[in-house]
Formats: sequence, C-alpha cells, structure tokens
Amino acid sequence: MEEASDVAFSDAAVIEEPSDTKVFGFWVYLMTDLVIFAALFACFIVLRGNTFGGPTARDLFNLPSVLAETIILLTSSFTCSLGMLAVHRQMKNWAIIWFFLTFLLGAAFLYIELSEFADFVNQGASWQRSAFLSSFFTLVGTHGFHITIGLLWMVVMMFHIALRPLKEHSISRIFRMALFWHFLDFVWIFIFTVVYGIGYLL
Amino acid sequence: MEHKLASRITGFISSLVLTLAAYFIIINPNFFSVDIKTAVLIIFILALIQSLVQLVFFIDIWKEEGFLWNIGIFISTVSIIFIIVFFSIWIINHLNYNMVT
Repeated sequence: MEEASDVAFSDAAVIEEPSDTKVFGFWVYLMTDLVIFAALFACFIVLRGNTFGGPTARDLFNLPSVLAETIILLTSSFTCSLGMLAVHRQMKNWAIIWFFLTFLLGAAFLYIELSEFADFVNQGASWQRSAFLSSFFTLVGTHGFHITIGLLWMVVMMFHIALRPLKEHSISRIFRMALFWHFLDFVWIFIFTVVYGIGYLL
Repeated sequence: MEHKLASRITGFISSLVLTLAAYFIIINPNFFSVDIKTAVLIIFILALIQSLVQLVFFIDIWKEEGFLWNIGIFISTVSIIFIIVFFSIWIINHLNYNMVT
C-alpha cells in the first residue's frame, strides 16, 4: 500500500495535464477577472459625477504622471514578450534579463501609482470623501493589487528559469505568467482612457 | 507556433503611437475643433484599437491549440461585459432622469 502511494507521488508517475488545458483554464480565470473589472468600471462610470462637494476628477488627476505610468506599463509588456521569445529560444540569461527589466518597470509603475494615491489622500481626497473617489480607488486599486501579484509571480518565475531546465511544462508556466502580465496591460488601457481620459474631459 | 520579434516591435510602436494620440486629444480637446462628446468618442475608439493591438501582437492565446475554445470564451465574456457596463449606465441614467422633478 505504502509502496503504491510512493509511486503515485514520485515525479515519474505524475501524469501532467496537457499544457493547453492549463492555458485554457488560466484563460477562463482571466476572463472572469475581466468581468470583475467590468463591474468596477460600470460602478465608476455611474458614480463618476457624485463628488459630494469634494474634488472632481479634473481637480485631482495629474495627467503627465498618468502618461508616464501608461508608457512604463506598455514598455513592460513589450519587454515581457521579449523575455517569452528568449524562453522559446532556450536563452535563459536573456530571458532573466528581460523579465528582470519587466519587473523593474512594473515596480516603477506601482511606485508612481502609490505616490499618486498618497498625494490624493494628503489633499483630503481619500476613498471616504465621495462616491466618485470610492469607486476610483476600488477600480485602480484592484488593478494595482493585480500588478503586485504579477510582480511576485515574476520573481518566482525568474528563479524558476535560473534553477530548472526549460522543458515544455516550465515554458507553459512562464507563458501563463506572461499572459497575466499582458492582461494587466490590456485592462490598464481602459483605465487610462475611461478613468483618466474621459474623467478629465467630461 | 511562430514567435516573431518583428510583430512585437510593430505592436509596441503602434501602442505607443495610439497612447500619445489619445493623450494629445485629452490635453487639447479643441485642437481639431470638435466638441467634447466627439473627443470622448475618438479616444474611446483609440482605446478599442489599442486593445486589439494588444490582443493581436502580445496576447498569444490565438496560436495555441483549441483556438475555438479560447476565442469562444473571450467573445462570451465581451458580451457579458457589454451587458453589465452598457445596461448599468443606461438604467442608472434613466433612473436619474425620471427622478428629477
């Protein structure tokens, strides 16, 4: 009995799920995440005008720093895709360099976003001030939380690349991390346009 | 599966161009002598093009096996998102309108 369970849990006997199934499962998760973001976007758009006498979007938003955040995130998406190319070509060092660069850009993005939040709170525009600010912090904060998770995952994957051979199931893991990162970039495009752009114009 | 450097660079440059174009319209909405509503529509269309650029050039899911499954769940998610966002805005705006006396 014991021998049988030993065999079942040893590396050789583990039957890996096909990588495509895992990618599909992860894709389904990303789509449900997109629905969460959609609900938060709907909430923000509906509550956008309810400032309760507090600061409006036009008073608060500092557009140059938002543009900097956007360009940093787009660049990090590009370097992440270059890292993935290096993984497919079995170039470990280049993969780690590109993912490290992606990590630095993501950390810079997070730093700018958090100092923007701190600045808002110091001006008395915290999430308790008005419905507009509650929905703003919930939407942008949820995205920032995803970025944090993505950064942690990227650190884990850099160690994974350094320590493990780049076999098919490793490549599939790294691929899912890259997919997550591109997904965050995809969501940010709409935050840039709907929250900051339209929030500033209307 | 093909993994080309050229498509990444194309995607990166076009995403930067689209972002800068949207930013330019946000800070100078009157530059092309259009009203604010049109400017909002233009930057929203730019965002849709930008999201397509990301989907085509960076999100590699379309080359995997099971293309139909992936695109199927994507399209159904986009429909759910349309229902949530569009109808929330529609309902709340009409509520607001009908409650003004």
